[in-house]
Amino acid sequence: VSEPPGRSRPLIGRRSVLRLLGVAALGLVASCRPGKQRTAPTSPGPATTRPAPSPQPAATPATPTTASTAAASVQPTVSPLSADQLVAQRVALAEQALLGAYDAVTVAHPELAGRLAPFRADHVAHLRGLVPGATPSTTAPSNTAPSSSAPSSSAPSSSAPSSSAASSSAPASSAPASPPLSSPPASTVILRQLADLERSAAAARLGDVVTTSGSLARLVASIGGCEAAHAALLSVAT
Amino acid sequence: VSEGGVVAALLAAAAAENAAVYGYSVAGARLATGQDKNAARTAYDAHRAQVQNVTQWLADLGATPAPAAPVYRLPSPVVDNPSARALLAAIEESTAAAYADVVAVASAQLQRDAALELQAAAIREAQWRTTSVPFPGLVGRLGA
Repeated sequence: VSEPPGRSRPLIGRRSVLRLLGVAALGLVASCRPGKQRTAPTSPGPATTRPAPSPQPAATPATPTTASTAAASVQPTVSPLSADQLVAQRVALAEQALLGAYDAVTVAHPELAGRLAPFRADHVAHLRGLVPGATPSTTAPSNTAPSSSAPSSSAPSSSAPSSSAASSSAPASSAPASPPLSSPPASTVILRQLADLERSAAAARLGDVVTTSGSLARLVASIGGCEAAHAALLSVAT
Repeated sequence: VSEGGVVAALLAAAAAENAAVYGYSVAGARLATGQDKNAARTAYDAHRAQVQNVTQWLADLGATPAPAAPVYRLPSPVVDNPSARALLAAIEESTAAAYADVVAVASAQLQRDAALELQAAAIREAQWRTTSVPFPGLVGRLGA
């Protein structure tokens, strides 16, 4: 799986991936609050943020067993959730953000879609394990960018929140200068960045675990194990 | 959360680590490549170190693990490279499961340490499988 030499595709740099994560997180935060108690202030987010499809509200708590107070301050505007539900929602947000990163990468590099699909599927499973009935709110790119169409490297569709970030790079169709021999192919850079994101996520799960117990702690720890394994596999893949 | 629950989970983790040491000693020789054999040696050392760590955690709680058995029954015979990798993946999954049980009942630093060991086992499991599982340590237990 190597790209044609000398072709410089627009990279999604770390900064833009992080920006996408922010957009994805805002979308989820805005959409996952129960409607009647919605006290959310107007979002200061980017004007291009489209409201994500609402996941179904969690009808049942993930694990109504414990009542640790450690996470009580996470979302002070949402009162009726148990401490465990708050932890589950916090981790679900992180999973949604990772999904957004995979979606963004797949838009910019459709050739990686097949290879990344198993990783993405794991995060969908995590989301559903945390919030029963949740449907991953696909970020705009995965809905609007047909990966089957011409593999053009022009900017993703204008509705994608990543457009400003991704399209600022030079279009690949212009005569590419040969990159220095030392620069790795774009896919390698992307996979490394995803590995970094997974590694950070796994580290964050260690902090999440100690705010809960019982079956939810077991679940969150397992999700962290999966993310650590993803980081390792993605690192090997490069 | 009772201290007895933590002790019981740690005793099971110690048993899983001893079984893992045995499993690596059996399967390591059947691996095909030098790279895999090196990885197996590193993992063998990691499991031996974890036997010591878990023993210390138990000692802090006034308990002592059972000594390692001389022989463990393997879930499937190890005759070649694929069966060796399958055994090692299964060993890591059961190690991860043991630490998941510790995570469920422990708290504070021990809970975090157990979660980190689950991650280490999950990484090794994925490397033997060459793919990931969504819920390492919970395989066969979620939704069952």
